[in-house]
Amino acid sequence: MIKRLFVLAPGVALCALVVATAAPLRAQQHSYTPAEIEEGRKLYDANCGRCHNETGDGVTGVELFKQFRRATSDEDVAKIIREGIPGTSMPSHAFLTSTQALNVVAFLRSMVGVTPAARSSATTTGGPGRGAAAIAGGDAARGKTLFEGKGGCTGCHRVRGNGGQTGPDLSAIGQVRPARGFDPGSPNLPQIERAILDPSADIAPSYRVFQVVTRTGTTTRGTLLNQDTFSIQMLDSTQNLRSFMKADLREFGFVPSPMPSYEGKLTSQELADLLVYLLSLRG
Amino acid sequence: MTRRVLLLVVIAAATLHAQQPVTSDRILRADQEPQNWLTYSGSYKSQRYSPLDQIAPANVKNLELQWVFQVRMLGLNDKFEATPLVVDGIMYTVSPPNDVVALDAVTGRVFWRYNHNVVPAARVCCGRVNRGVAILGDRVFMGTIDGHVVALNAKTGEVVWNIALGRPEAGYAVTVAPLVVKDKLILGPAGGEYGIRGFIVALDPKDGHEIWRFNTVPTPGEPGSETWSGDAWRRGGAPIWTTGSYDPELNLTYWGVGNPGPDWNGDGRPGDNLYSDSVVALDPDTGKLKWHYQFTPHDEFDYDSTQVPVFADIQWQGRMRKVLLWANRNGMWYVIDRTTGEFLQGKPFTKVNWLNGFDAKGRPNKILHPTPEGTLVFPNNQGATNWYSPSYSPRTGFFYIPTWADTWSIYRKTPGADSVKYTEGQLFTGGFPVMALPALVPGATNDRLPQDGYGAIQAFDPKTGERKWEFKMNDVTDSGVLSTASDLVFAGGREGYFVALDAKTGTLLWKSMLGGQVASGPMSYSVNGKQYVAVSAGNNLFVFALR
Repeated sequence: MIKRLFVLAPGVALCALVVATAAPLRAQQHSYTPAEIEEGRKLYDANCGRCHNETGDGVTGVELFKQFRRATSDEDVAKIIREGIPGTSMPSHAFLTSTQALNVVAFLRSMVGVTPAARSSATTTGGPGRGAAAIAGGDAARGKTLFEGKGGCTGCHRVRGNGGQTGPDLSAIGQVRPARGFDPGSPNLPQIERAILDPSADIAPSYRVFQVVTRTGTTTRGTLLNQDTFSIQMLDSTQNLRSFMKADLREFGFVPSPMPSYEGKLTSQELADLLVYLLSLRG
Repeated sequence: MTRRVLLLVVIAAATLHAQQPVTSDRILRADQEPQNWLTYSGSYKSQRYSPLDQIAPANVKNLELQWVFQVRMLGLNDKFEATPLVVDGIMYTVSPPNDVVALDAVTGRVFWRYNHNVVPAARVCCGRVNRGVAILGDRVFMGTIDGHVVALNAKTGEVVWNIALGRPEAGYAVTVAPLVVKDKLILGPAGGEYGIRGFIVALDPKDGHEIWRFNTVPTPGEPGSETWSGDAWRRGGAPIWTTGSYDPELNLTYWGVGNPGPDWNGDGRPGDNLYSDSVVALDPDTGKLKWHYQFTPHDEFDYDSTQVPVFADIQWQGRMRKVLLWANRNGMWYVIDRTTGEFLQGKPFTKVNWLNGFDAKGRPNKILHPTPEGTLVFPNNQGATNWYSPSYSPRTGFFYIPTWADTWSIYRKTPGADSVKYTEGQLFTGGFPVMALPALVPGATNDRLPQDGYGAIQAFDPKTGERKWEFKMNDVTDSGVLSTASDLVFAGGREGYFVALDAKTGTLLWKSMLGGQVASGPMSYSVNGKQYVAVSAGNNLFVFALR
């Protein structure tokens, strides 16, 4: 069963962890204690999750773990939670105290940068990933040298503006975040390690490579934006929006990550150095 | 000339009929007036089968839009789930939150509109929805999400009576289209996520007074109460939110019952929790239970059995039997003797891993439970199907199931009877499970991986248990299925396509992109000899006919 879960769950990859941080919420306006966040998590699960989902994006057009559409301050968000939004499906939750509503906000704030993939795959115990043992003796400075040199990582990834743009920005890959549900919280060590050793295991949606081949043999690669029973919409590698009818295609589907596996290509020491360096990147 | 005379006769007949009130006898003989759609599923057999055959495989490619009826802008989780009724050229339907409208079924023009003023205390777990009205005599009946039942004058939309069925502050909401049986109006409340205590009632259509009540969570001392413990029955859920069926020969009405509460943590309610996740067969005169069958004892996965009970009279192992066909949210489809309640067959219609078989009486051997670390369960929390109406065609003999195929959820819980606290008006569920698909409405785009599941319309032969065909859709479907006497099947899905399939083979014959998810059951009617097919999608009701 665990193995099946490992295969099915849209899990964590190096890419996945970073994508969500690219569209952050406004700067946090309060400091919250872990107890407040945990209280907010419980209240969210009991009262919000049915609609907003475990992922915060269960309501079309609303992404609670990324940004609020109608509020700027935490008090505004708490007010909406307690009073609802007239004319929409958002009901009032007047039974929550103001403090409880703020704790829900605390939880929402804490979820910034935590992708759905991270939460739903965190039960995964199989696959690469040795946890704390992987970073024993690691050195961030050596890791940085490796990242920018022999590792070739900057060819695709950038850190604080330096590097390529075809892969995810890793400037905040080591961002601290609390544990929640299936998500073991920070550090993201096992997931990062797995992403280095097995890049195709899980890839953030926006970094998955999709390929279509027409009946006349033309191949197009890019990012899958949307799909339905009869058609496919994508952003191709030349940044053109393209739409294809499946009836015109010989084949279509995701292809493996363009990132090479570093399994066997790095020594344990090098991997530890690289991981320690990545964990030091907090945005 | 002859054709013109014939047309005039048809029009004259329709006009004559237009003044006749709907009686339960007319609903009983719905097959004899195929131009009308007099009750939620088309007839008491709940087959969602239309005897009309003007639109056929050979000409379905010529379907074109006749009119669109736009409703009040829906909220983010609201869905336009109602099946319209059509009586002699007049269409009655409901859009969220509780707006009833009478339309000209030919032009879509409005005769009257009634907007129910929903009180702010109303609570709905999953968006504001309503599945339709019932009609009897000159009255139209609607349940409301603030726990009321309203009777309207079918000619004017004026309120005749308005009664409270349950307190909205406690989560009682009525979303089901009521069922008229003889001189009674039968329905029940939703609210399984708020710790309600479910029931089925018969109301007097004259004034709304209660004639009988069947508790879907028995009171201590009543049969079935031994399947609960302590005070759990007081907030045991078991709601009603899809319309039942009625067999006049057996004088039984059949209803599917929803999940026990709390949904995802059963530690506070040890036992089977009857009659949650069951079908109950009741005497419509008294409300007395004749038999029941429980699909998912002690449910911890939110597998409501709120499906439409579909009738079929089929050869079963050498003899004719009156059966119920039941595709359940739990991923299994069943054949049940509707005279006795005997379990005849249960088979998966998609990937299912929560049971490993049945005992001789049809009790499932459940092998999975929520755990603190999480349990991976197929099908997912929204189910392999849900309230979406299936269809049975007596012509093909196939049972058509709207399917969420190969979906999964991970269920986790904090163990202990006290880990889920009840507070009136708050969700009483336990921790929401993880799943890859949006629970209620599609996202703006879909870039999910193939292994997260897909949608399908599947056709099964109940006599053999064999799957005859599958029409695959990329995204899942909240659409019902309509079959017709011309061997067409109509259905849709979250993507917004409305499709016509060959009922024998599943071959796609026609499609139209409606631009919003289809979350209702298609239906068909005719006026002046012209057949129409209606379905709601997004904020609109679409009506098609041959060009």
